[in-house]
Amino acid sequence: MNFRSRIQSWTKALLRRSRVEREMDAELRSHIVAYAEDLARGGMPEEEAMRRARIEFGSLERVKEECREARGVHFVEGLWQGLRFGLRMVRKSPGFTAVAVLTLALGIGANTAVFSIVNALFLHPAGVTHPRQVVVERARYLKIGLYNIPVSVPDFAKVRDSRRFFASAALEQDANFNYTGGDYPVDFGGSRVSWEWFDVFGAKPILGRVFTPAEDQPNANHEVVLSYGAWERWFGSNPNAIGRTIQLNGQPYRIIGVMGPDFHWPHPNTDLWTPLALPPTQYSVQNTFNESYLAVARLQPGVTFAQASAYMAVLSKRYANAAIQRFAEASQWSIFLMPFADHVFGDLRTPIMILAGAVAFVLLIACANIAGLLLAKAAGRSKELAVRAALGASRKRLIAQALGENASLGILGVLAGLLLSQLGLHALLFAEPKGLATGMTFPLDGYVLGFTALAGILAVLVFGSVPAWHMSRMGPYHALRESGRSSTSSRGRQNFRAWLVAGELALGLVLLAGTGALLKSLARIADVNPGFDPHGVMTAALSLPKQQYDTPAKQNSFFRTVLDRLRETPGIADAGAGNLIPFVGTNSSASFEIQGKPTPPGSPGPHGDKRFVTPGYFTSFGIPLLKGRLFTDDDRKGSQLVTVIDDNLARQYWPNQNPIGQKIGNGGKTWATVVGIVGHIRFTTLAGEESSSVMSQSGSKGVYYLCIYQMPGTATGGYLIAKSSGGAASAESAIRQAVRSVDPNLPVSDMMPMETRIAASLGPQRFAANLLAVFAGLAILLAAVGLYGLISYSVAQRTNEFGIRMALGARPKDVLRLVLLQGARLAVIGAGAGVVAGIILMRAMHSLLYRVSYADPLSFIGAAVLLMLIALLACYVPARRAMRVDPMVALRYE
Amino acid sequence: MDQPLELLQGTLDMLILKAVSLSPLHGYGILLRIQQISKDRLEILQGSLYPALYRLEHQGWIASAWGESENKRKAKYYRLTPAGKRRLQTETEKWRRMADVIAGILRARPEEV
Amino acid sequence: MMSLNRERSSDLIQGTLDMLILKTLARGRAHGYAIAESIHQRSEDVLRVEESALYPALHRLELHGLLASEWGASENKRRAKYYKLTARGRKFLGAESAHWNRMTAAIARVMETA
Repeated sequence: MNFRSRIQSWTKALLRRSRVEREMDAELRSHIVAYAEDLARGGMPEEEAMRRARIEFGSLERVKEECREARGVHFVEGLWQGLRFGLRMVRKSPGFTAVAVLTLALGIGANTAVFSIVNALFLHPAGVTHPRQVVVERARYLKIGLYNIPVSVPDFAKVRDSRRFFASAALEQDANFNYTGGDYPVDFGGSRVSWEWFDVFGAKPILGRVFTPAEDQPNANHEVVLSYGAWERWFGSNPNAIGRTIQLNGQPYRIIGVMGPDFHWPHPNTDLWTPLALPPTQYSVQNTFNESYLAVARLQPGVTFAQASAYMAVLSKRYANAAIQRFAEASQWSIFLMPFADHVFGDLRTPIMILAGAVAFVLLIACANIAGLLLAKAAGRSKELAVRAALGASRKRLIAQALGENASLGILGVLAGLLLSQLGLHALLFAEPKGLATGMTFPLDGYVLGFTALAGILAVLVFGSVPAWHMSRMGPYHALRESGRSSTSSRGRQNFRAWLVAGELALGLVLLAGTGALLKSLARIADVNPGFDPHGVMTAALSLPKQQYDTPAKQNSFFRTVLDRLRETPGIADAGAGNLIPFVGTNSSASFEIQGKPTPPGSPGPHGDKRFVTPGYFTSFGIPLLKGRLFTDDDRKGSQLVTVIDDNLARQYWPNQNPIGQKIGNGGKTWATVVGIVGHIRFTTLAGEESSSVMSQSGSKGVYYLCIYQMPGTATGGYLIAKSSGGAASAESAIRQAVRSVDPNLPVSDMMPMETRIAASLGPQRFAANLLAVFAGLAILLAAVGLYGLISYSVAQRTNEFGIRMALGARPKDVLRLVLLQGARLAVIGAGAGVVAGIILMRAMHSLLYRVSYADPLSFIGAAVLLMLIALLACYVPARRAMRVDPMVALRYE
Repeated sequence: MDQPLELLQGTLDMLILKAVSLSPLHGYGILLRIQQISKDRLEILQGSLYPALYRLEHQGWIASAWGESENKRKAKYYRLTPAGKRRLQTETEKWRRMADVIAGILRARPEEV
Repeated sequence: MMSLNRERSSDLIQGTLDMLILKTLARGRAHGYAIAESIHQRSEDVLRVEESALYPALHRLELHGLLASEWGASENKRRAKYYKLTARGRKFLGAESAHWNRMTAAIARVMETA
């Protein structure tokens, strides 16, 4: 078969219809004339010859019709005709059109909205060219329970120097900058990056330039690249900002470039970038297991993720010396790659995929609904169709025409759906929990438009083919007979609609049950005791500029004074500080040694999460002291080095022993004595394994605390904690005032009640639950509309029957029961099928469920009951109508 | 019995392909050509010729162009495409085999079982 | 005259199939399956008669009085419907075979023109 010639003849049929028709007519007529001439030549009178020729040729129209059919013209033409017919119908029956278009728009809109998110997060992250080539280099220690942590500088160097696989590579470390040029101090969310950073993402500045290798050197690093947002906010989008020098952390920085509005990595709210300018000593072997950088790289064109990943295994085994090899093997250390989008949005992947499934259901329900509406409408047209079929219109052509009619519905639905999706995305961003995708935009780009168009076409094929197939399946005889009497008509069609509605109810139940299970799981997680009391605790971040606070004494004094002032503020019960606090998304851990307990060969040795805190840290958070003592003001520089450990660490390394008085250290000459044991607290997540994509994954890992004042260089920044008796909000101004009274130029950032931070850690689950609830509601609404339509139609069809029943003595109550039973039967079938499908499908969700089974009985029963209630409600209105049928009128109704 | 004897499927297509393989022809010319070669033994229903032509063109086995006929009238001429040539060959072979087989059966005497 | 039915997808077209059935029965009575088998074998496996075409054809031919049928026992003692040629059928076969031969000759003529 020659495909091209077919396409040619189809396009010809569509685009040059009149010409093709003219030519066909000319060709056939010339044939008749030629034949007549031959006949005349044989001696027949001219007129008689023409007449004979015509008769022998047969019906010109019939031959033309067969020719059109032979060329495959009909299908295309039918479609075209249907499209025009459909647009006419839109004007003629606005009610039907409105319902169908709105239904489709809801389905398409929901899918477009969710796809926009998938697109913006995973497929085409903003400002990144060829995002599939961008990877993140990570490290892991399987034996120590660290599965996904940043990398060290020497690890980065290995990737940077493998140019066969990586086109470019860069290191990054977050840094806050105090900008003191304006009216009040501002904290800029900054990012210190090595010079190839922008190349890795394939991002170009819209103004000026980015860093040169020479600028990425210690003491040469006084250039800054601004984000579009910062340029707009702080420099009024002034192009003359380039070349200006600004004060950051009290140091002059020259603005050399401005990035485009869509580039904001590593965080959605990065304000500026400065050169990382690592000194060469950082690359030394001693730093091998010292991980604190984000490393990104772009794969060479043509190199796949799998190839590069395989090469990472080779790089991992390239040990600098025997000691490194020993520890690496004992702890099962290696470096590996992650797709960039997975690293940044990994937590959102499962919820988003579940939502994608949910909206697919919504669209399916919408299609089933529209198919039902079309079937009902087809009942009114069956006579017309039967007559046309009897006159020889081919089945293919009828299908084509029906599809064409539906395509016009589809086009309107897609347009309305696009509109709805944009409204929906705005609502969604509004409802989105803080920190999940701050600063993200979901552009309506070519990919989204393409997806929407595809969804529209699929939807038209799905809802359009059902009635098309149904009507073409009946022979003309069947349909002509059927249209004779309406009361017995369309049994098959009505049955089919009933199946569609039962299917809709089943899909709706799946979504309802899923929502129920997620909500239940959320409630269970929210009930988890984090191990401390977040109530009334306000937290805020700050960082001390190095130039101003250049000695440990100055740093310690800052913290002591601020915390003293805070504690003196009325309403503040307690105050403390630490380098890290729970639920900010970061964690830190380190290996240590226990005095008198040498590490056996082949073992990675003791390891624990490590935090630097002030004495007030424990009391402000209400972390319970289980044994010994907490830090006191007497634990200072020069006094005996002490540590407080948590009960997890105690159990892990001193089982059935008293750790108090034991000494731990990290290879140096100094040992810290364990003086107290406190309770373990949840640090990154409330439930399950502690965090995935951030610093460490340490579920029940032990913790050791060291006192900030005893550890020089650890009091350079971190978080202030204030426990207030009058609610967290009242502590906000207290913190600001205390800091301002000590250093008026020091900005405070990330001010947030502890309870808000904990709630935000449930972001992905809450996000999924909320949206699933919305989509489940939408699905149930659509299914209810479908059921209502079906029952209404059936009641109208059975008016006659009800009239007879009532004339024979049935009471209105009996009729009501009859109708409600019809609806209830469908609801029961739908609910039953939904439970089975739900249990199968919800397995996919189990990673989001906490102490709730994917076959949670309460969720399923609750969903089924809710579904039944809604179904009965949908049937009640038409049932009431049936009840009020006047027997006399009904019998006349035809 | 006035039931017309129907042909093996595709015979008309094959005859048309054969006719235009000799030289480009317009519709009526194809009819005449087949009649002439078969010494008027084959007569093709005029009504069934054109749908067959359109179908063959749609499938890419023949192509058409407007030209001038012997008596100076505009006419649509059909010619064989390379794909049509291959098609003609396989169809001819298939037809020969079928015709041989059926002829063989028809020739058999009743007693040859 | 010839006409064409291009919708049919079986290997044999109705008229030809009728003729082959009649020819097979000219050798004596046979049941449906034996007819199909005989055509298959005698055509050296080239022609295959589909059941969906054979039985309608048999019924049609019987209706036109070209065949007659009777119930009998088959080789393996099972009841089978046997068909045999009527006098009309025999005459029809003769005419049709002649017609068929003339037509294939005519087609062959066309096909052999260079």
